[in-house]
Amino acid sequence: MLKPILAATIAAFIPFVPLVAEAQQRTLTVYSSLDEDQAKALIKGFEAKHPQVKVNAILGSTAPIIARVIAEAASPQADIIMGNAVSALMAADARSLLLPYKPAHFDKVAPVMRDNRAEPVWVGIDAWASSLCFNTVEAAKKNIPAPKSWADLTNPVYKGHITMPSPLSSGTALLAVNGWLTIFGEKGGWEFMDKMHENVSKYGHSGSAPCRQAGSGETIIGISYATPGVKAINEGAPIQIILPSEGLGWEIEAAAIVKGARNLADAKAMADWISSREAAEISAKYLPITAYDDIQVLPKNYPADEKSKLLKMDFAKLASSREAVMAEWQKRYGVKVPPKN
Amino acid sequence: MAEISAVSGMAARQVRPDPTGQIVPPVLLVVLATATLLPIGALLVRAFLGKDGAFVGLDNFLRYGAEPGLVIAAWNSLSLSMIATVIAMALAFPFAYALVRTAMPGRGIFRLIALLPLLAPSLLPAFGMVYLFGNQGWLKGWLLGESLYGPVGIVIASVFYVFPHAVLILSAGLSAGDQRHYEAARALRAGPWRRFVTVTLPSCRYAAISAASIAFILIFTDFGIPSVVGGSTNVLATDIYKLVIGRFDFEMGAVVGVLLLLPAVVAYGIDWLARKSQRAMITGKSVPIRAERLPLRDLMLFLFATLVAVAILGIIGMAIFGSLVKFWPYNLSLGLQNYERLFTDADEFRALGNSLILAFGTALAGTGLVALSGWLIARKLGNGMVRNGLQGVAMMPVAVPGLVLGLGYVFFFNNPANPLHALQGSLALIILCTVAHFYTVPHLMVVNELLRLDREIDLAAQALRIGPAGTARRIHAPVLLPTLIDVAGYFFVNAMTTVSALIFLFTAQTRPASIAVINLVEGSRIGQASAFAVVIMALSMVAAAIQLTLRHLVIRAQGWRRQTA
Amino acid sequence: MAGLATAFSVVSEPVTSGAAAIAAPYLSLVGLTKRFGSAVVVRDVNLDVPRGELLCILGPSGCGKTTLLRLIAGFEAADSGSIRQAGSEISALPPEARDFGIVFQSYALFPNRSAARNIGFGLETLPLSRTERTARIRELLALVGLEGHADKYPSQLSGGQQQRVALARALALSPGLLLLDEPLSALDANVRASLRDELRQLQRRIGITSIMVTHDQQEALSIADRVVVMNAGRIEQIGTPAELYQRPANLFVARFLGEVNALPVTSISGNIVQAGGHAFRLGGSPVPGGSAGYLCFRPSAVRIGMEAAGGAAGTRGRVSSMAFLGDRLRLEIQPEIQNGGPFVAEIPFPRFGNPPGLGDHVTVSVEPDQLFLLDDHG
Repeated sequence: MLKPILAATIAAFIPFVPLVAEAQQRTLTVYSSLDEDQAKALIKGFEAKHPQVKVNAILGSTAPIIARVIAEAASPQADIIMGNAVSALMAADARSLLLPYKPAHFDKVAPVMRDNRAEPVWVGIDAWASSLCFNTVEAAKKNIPAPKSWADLTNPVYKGHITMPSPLSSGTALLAVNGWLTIFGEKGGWEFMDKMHENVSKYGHSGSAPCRQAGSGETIIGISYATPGVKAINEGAPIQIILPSEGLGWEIEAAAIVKGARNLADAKAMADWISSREAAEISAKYLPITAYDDIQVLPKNYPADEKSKLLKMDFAKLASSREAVMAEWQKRYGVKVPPKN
Repeated sequence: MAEISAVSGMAARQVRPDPTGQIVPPVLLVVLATATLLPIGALLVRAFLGKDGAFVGLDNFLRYGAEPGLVIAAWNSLSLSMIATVIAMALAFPFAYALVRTAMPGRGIFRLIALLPLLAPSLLPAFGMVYLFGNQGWLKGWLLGESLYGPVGIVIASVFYVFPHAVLILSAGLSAGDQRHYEAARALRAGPWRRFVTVTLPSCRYAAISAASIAFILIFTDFGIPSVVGGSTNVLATDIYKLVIGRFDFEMGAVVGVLLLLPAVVAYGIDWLARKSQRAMITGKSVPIRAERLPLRDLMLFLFATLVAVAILGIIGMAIFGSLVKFWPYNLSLGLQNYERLFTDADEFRALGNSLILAFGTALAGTGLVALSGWLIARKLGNGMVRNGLQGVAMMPVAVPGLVLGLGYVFFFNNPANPLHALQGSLALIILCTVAHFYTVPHLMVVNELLRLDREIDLAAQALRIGPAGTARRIHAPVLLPTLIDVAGYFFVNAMTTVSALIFLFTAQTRPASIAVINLVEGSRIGQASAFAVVIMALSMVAAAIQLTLRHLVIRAQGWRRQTA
Repeated sequence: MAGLATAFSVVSEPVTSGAAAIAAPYLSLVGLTKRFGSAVVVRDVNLDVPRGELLCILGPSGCGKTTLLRLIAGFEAADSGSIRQAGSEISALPPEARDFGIVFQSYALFPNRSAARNIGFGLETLPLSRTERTARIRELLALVGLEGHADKYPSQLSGGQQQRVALARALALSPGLLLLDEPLSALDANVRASLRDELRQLQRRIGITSIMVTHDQQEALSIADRVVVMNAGRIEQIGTPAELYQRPANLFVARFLGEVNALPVTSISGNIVQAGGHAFRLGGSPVPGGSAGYLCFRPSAVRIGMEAAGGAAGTRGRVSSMAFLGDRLRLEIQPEIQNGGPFVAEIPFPRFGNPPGLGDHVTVSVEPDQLFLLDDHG
């Protein structure tokens, strides 16, 4: 029994040992948390300009991608992170895992969309903002009015009908929380969340799930961001994307080169491409806010006034308070059993 | 009678020493430790290290102890795992009993249905449950006003998840009894119920404890279920996710990983004690069980099994239905639009191919390793300490959440100091990780099957100057063959659906279909994600069908398994 | 008196018959000791087995007899001592390098092989042609009387047939030594008896040196050339079945080999022994008086008379219970003397006249040469 089994075991591995000597083409490993279609379109644009480079993209959610970069610190696998929340990138930067680089078109990028430190680490690609997905069919059945503002969410009429992600596992939730802390102030923000907590039926893990759940009637109000809501509407979901009147917490998705990148030259080329107007025009097909202020395209069914409702936020401060906000949130809401329907 | 003569050429006894027992166990121990113990250790050791890598003793534990919510998460983990285990056992025991100990009609079909949850990516039943019991669910009223999202959902989904595991272990245990015990009990005028209580229950005590331990550990360490249907109910397994993924706090995540090992250690202890007392129950001279025909009992069990089967088919059927509708629950017109992308998008199509390669590789490598480790342990080869080490290393993975294993792989292999560093990013490493992740149950399947073979058979072979390797080839391998087919099937279907350990390991070239499903969910393409999951399940079903056919053919070809000529 | 002297000495050295002691023994164990942890399972065993002998190792469970067999086979390694087989030291050899065949209580047949292929298992590694091998298997099948069962699998054979296959398999390589570990214990009573006789005949015919472990004293006595009685890891006595039965070395051996009446000795003067309230006259020459111990005799040695008569060594008693054993009667006799202990007698069922009845008064006598004195060792 021994020899055949040993042979089979070894044989099973042989085909999968990486082939070191690949073709003449150079490769570039890109980690990205952008929308899949957007990421693929950007890569396609890059490869068209650099035909000798083959991009290998690993797509995933914001937090797992950064967790992976941190875990791989001993021998970095990624060359460049093409799109991840700036707050998460700062966590990697705090661990000195990112390489400062000023891309070719850095100066043309809107000032708010770039790392304005002396040695910039990131350059913005797009931005996304908190919003509500509101299921009109289920609301009508229960005679529930559409909320107009964040403050409305504390109204007992919404008891058990609100879901949101937990900021402990979702960047989307974090930017909503940061938005509330900006709008209502440190003390007022937590007081607002205390009251809203009475109405929340579920804190989930995924930032896009609340909109999907609103789309399928699992909840009436989902605190999320616009893109999953837009997709649900395009598929036929009876929801309305509401941008609360007080303003929206938002965050930038940015690109950054990984320190120790094996294909540094191509990674820089990718950063240059990402900072270009051409790339921003591609991104604009998916999200209205890009690195170039003057590109005005609105994706189908995307709410028109998102840009005007963005709050003025202190990103440096938010990045440094990330851990503290999470701990406070865990203390207040991570423990209590939420009220039942 | 003929006179006996000596065989020519026998006087010159040239015995080549068989080094199998000396060489194979230590080598295998090193291989398995590299696949399980060392990577897991590479992460768990961080529980005792600071962020800078310096030893900090129990600081991280104290830090975690001070976290609000720990007690509630631990309590939720323990209580929900226990409740779900009890319910799963209460359903799985009569089901397994009906499968192997009765003349109930349709046993083959029922067995297939019981294994279905094993074949489906975990998202599929989660969607199915949402469509059935969610706020828009067709059977929402059955929850009596309770919300699916929370303890109720965790328990239902956990029961669904571990049911096939429990049925597998229990039916193996129930089929290995001694008919003579029943004959003796009958002679003592014991009625069917008394025979059940006094003979059946004690004889499968070990299998029951084993099944319950595995079920408990699987539920206790599972992250997927509480994250999809758990609502805001915190459990320890989701804590790891929040700590590692959300807060990048690997050190405290490692603390939770260590804590998750504890109940598993207790469960092993119970398992070990049960195994010790089981020894005498079945011997090589046992007479195989013959199913008794009791019409009333068989009818009741048939109704029960039908109910369970309807529940399983209902949940999975609902998910399939969901993948075919235009937009749940507002546009229920049917169509194949969700399946189109699978066959038009090159990346998704390649993911399916990757999954098949991964599954084949895992089945091949895993079956080989498990056959060796199970054989060495069941037939007591080599040094006892090495064997104990092997057993420990083989038993460890089931108690480790996939996330911990996957992260451990990154820390261990993605290190220039590691001579195996070249494996990073290769499909070989993903296969090794998947083999390690699902190692325990197949290992136990092999050990249990070989333990049923009398130990003296090996001694008899040795007396005939055939060494361990020769006996393995001529005796153990044929006896084990059907089990190995099952083992290969088990590895295959698990590799098709596994996610948690791979999210840190896959690359653009090696991304398997199960990860593609997650990516689709993240991209809010729920319909396509369900469609993809359905395709994965269909491929797994094909694999399972091949497995069952092969097994059937092998058993038919092995004439010695039949009782009468 | 030689017999008595033997009976009183505690046997720790092997006692071999004169003939065997002259020729070099085929198998020789010297000072063999095996411990499991702190427990000594086999303690300083010395044993010589002449070529062609069938030796039974007899003892209660846990006495170390199976461990001794496994030491000879090489399945266990001895802590000290030596094993010589056919003139060479084998104690360091692994089992596959030794020269023996073995039969287990569990048969241990390979379930996936037919009777013929079980028997042929050991032959497969030999440089034999297919025809030679087939012929050899046929020969062995015939030897154990299973000509028609060559292609049957173990699960299709009866227990007795399976054990025959196991026996043929053990003999396939023509080993110099046959080891039998309780080979008959798993069989039904009638199969056991007939297979026992067959085994004996077969062993005689092929003249293979054989060691059989058993806990059944009848089996040992009826089959063995010599019997080794073991207790607590030690050899208590070695001898022919008759020697052991009639002249056991101690009370343990006496009791283990069959029922025995053991009356505590109160005094000995000349060849008159006071025991259990009775006076017995021993045969042969007088022995030194005053020795403590037991006066023993087998139930079958007792003679019963219906009226007072001067027996060889006699006393009067009352039949306190009786059982009918077919051709014999088993009586419990309560002596009439005060403090006299009861003892058991087995007598042939009388052909003429009436057997004693319950409560009858009888005279009891034991032939002097059927009496033996034992100390209470063991």
